[in-house]
Amino acid sequence: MAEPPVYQSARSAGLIVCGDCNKLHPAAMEGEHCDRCGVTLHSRQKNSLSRSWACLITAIILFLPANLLPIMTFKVFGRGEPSTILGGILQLLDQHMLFIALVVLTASIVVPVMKIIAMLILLATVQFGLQTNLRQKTIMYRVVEWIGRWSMLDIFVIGVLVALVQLGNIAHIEGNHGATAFGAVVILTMFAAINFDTRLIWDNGAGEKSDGEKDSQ
Amino acid sequence: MSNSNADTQPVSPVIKRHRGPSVVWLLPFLALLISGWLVFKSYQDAGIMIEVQFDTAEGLEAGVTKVIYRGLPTGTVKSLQLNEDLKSVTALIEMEKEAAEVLREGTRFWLVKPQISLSGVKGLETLLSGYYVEIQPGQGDTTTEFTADNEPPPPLKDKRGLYLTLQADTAQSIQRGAAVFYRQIEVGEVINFGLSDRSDQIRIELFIEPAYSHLISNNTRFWNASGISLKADLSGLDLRFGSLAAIIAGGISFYTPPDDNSGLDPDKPFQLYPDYEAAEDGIAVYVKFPARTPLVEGTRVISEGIQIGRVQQLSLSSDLRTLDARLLIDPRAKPLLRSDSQFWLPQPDISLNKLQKIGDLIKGASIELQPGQGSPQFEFTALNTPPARRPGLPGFDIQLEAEQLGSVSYGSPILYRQIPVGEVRGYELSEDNDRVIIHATVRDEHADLIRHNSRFWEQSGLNLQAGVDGVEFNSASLSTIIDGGISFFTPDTQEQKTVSENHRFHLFRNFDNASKQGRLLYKENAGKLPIRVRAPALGSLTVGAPVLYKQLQVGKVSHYALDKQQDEMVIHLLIDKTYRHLVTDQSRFWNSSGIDASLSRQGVRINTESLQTLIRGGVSFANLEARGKPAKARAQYTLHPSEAKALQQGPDIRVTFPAGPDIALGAKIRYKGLEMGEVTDVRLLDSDGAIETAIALNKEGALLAKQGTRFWIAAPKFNLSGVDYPETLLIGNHIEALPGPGKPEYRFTGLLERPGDLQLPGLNIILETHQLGALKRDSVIYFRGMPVGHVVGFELTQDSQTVQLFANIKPRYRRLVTPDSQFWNISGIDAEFGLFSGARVETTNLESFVQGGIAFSTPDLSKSNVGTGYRFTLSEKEPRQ
Repeated sequence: MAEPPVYQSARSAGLIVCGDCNKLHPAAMEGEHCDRCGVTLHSRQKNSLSRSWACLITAIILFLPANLLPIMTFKVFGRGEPSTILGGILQLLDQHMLFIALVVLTASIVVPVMKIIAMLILLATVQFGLQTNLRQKTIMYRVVEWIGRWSMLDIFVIGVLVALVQLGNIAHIEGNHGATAFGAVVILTMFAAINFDTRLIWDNGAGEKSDGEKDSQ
Repeated sequence: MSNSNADTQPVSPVIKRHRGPSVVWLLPFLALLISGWLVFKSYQDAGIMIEVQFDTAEGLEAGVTKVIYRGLPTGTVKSLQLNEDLKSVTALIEMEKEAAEVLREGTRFWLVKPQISLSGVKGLETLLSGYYVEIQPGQGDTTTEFTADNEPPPPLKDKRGLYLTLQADTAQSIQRGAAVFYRQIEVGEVINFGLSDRSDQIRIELFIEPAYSHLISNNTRFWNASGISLKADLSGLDLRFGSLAAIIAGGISFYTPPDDNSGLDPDKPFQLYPDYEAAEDGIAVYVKFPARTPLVEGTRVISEGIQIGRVQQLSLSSDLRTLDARLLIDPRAKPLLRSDSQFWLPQPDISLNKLQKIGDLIKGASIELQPGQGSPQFEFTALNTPPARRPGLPGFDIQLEAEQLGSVSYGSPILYRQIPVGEVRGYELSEDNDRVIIHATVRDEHADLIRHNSRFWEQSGLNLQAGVDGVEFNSASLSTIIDGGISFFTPDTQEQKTVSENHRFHLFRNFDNASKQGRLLYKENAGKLPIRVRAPALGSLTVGAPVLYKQLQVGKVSHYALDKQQDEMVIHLLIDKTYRHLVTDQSRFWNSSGIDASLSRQGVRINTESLQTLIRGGVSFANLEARGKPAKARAQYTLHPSEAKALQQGPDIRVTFPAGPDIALGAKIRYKGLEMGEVTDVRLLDSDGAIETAIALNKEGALLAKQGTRFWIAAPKFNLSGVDYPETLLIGNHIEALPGPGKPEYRFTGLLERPGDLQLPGLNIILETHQLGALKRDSVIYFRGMPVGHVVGFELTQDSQTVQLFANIKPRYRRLVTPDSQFWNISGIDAEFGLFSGARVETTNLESFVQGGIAFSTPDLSKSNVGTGYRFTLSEKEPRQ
């Protein structure tokens, strides 16, 4: 305690930092309201790990129907079949639209899968107190959080198309359950990311106990 | 949660740990639930996979094409794959579970495509939804492998109504779904058609709506109402068509005789007739025609002009030699069908003399039936040609014997004075095959025109020469030109025996032969003046050719014959009574046949008497003098080849020309531009080219036949002052003549060019000079530079010491020449060279420079003039004054 608290956290200083206005409060005010902005104070997000796990697992489960069920049906003159995400990508490839196929593949498969994997790694780190590459993991988290907002591209496109292409029997597009599942996957991964408190990465010793060791490394 | 109280000791809050899983864990649970439900549902939805074999995958689409049963989608084509034999395609179809009951061995699959026709639109929905596969459930064990049909199977006969079977020879434009009409009301439809079991007929299955079932009885007749039936002939237009749908899609109509109580035996097949008419009843008669007979089904059968039936069916016999026709004959005509009855197909021909034959041309050929006697018979062999003799026809039958048939054909008319009085019925070879026997019938009312001595001739083709008959036929009628025809006349003799029927006459080739070159036309010849003309050849004259007087026909050629010496034709003319006084001993006859074209300075003159003589020839005559003694009967004349020759009055002369310009046959003899005669013959005298011409002089030309007359050939000649005889360039050389004063003379020696001492109008003088110099014929004589005359010719004097020039001064200038006149030669260039005066060149004008010229001056014009033949001396230079 006597050493200069170079990597001292609020918690190790016996304080709670207000999540919204960053005012410091004594640790005893855990669960009370910030006397400046009124938000409930928590040293760490409540049930962060548990919520994050739940959201992620749900996302993983829903990822299957999201890819197996058709996401939309495009009918021209009564003809047209529901298509899944992968089916759509294959169709694009068939039509030699490689770039668009890559974009769709990235937005619809790669990014969600990467997000899920990233979240799994983060959660496992915290759950099992792993101490390696914590910095990279934090950066990974930022990337996951940033990219989350772009993951709804497919859903937006479907939403716009369904609203626009409603020409009755001539041509119309309808969304299918796959889209719902896919949207749910995206939202749930975002929730998982939001609920994840990055400070937990550092809590298991590294933040308070191993900061110096880490430095000395 | 506990609240902190400032007044009390801070009590450490009781922290209640929330035990148990967070609410958030409901999410994965829900997700599991949803996924599980989906899995369950997809398992539940999964249908029965079957395999259906199609010939082609056309219209099939994996994941898209539906299987539809009674309008309800019951399955989807999941995938398509080519079979190993590469000849068919197997479609993997996922069927709904509910459809399991349908999937049996007898179940049939077929692809529904859109069919748009006027009878209805089928499968229209496939246009938007794509093709689909339809199934019709069948019987049998459950199976999952099927083979698809190419055609929709016939509908199941599970509807209430009447199902009938028709038999037809063809399924002409009958389609499945084609309507069945009764009085244009749709009462049913064709549900299926196909070959019968023995494949010799078409079986058509009909469905009749229950409401109309009572319309059918055993006597109902069905016919094909498809398409449009158009029958046009001269008697009218018969256009029949069913509804628009029937036109396009085909249709069947039927008719049930009224008051029919025959009941209905639904299993008995009905006959489907090809059309309304065929559905009618008739007696079937079988006739064998030679192969290649142009028969069609529907060809009419006619007897005595009335249609009694038509050809129902045609088939070729197995040996390909006969055409077996089944005729459907009106039952009322049954008595006509006897063992002696004869059938034949008249060959269609174009004929102008009968309008109904044109009708035949439009209506098509029709089979003729000639009723006969005997027992009833229904099988016949048709004749190749119409029967030559057709007994029982009204009229007076005659036979004509000819060496060749010529253009006589069936129906060729028998003409009397160009009026048809009968027609040719037929022809055949005579018994010994060396003649043709033509059978003809003359109508009863004209039968008395035929006498034992009637003479028949063929009046056919484009033989205009033969276009004259006993009375006054100028040309054959158009119909006989095309159709052929036989004319006859009866010479008027005292004995007029009638003939019995089938008397055999000879058919002459033409009227000349038939009338013995006109000699038999006694009646026509009465009162006419017969005269004879002799000609070396007949030319294009024919019997009946006109005899013209001032282009008025006054008679005609009666006949002609060779004279006794066999070297001249004697042509007998008959001059009409009214004009017989025109023929006198002064008459000259000429052949006015053909075209007489003459080319003269005035242009081309084409002369023909008339179109008639152009074609048929003719004899014209004219009288040289108005008053002559009338000709006696059988007077003899010469027939001249041309009018000019005939009217020629001058003598014939002969002129011999030395080798020089050509002279052609027909060249004219001119004197002062007037025609005096014509060269009628040109003969080469020797190898040098000397020729002798025979010249026929005309009346005026007689004055040329005098001693001293000179003839020379006028050929074109170019000189600087112009062209001599320019017209000869175009029409050839002619002969100029200058009459002499002497006694009659008929042989002359001609000159090659104009004689020098020609006496021309004006003053003719003689100039004497030592040298001719550049002077020549036509050198100009100038007076004060003005041309007043010219040199006509020149010759050596008899002692050959001087040359004498014959000069002619034009009449108006003759007073310029007096005995004092001095003549000098101005030909060429007059050049003088002097030491001091230099060179002086003098020439008058270009013409005199080239052609030579003479000038003269007269000092005193008041002196008396000189006479013709006065001699002057021609000096070489202009005399010094």
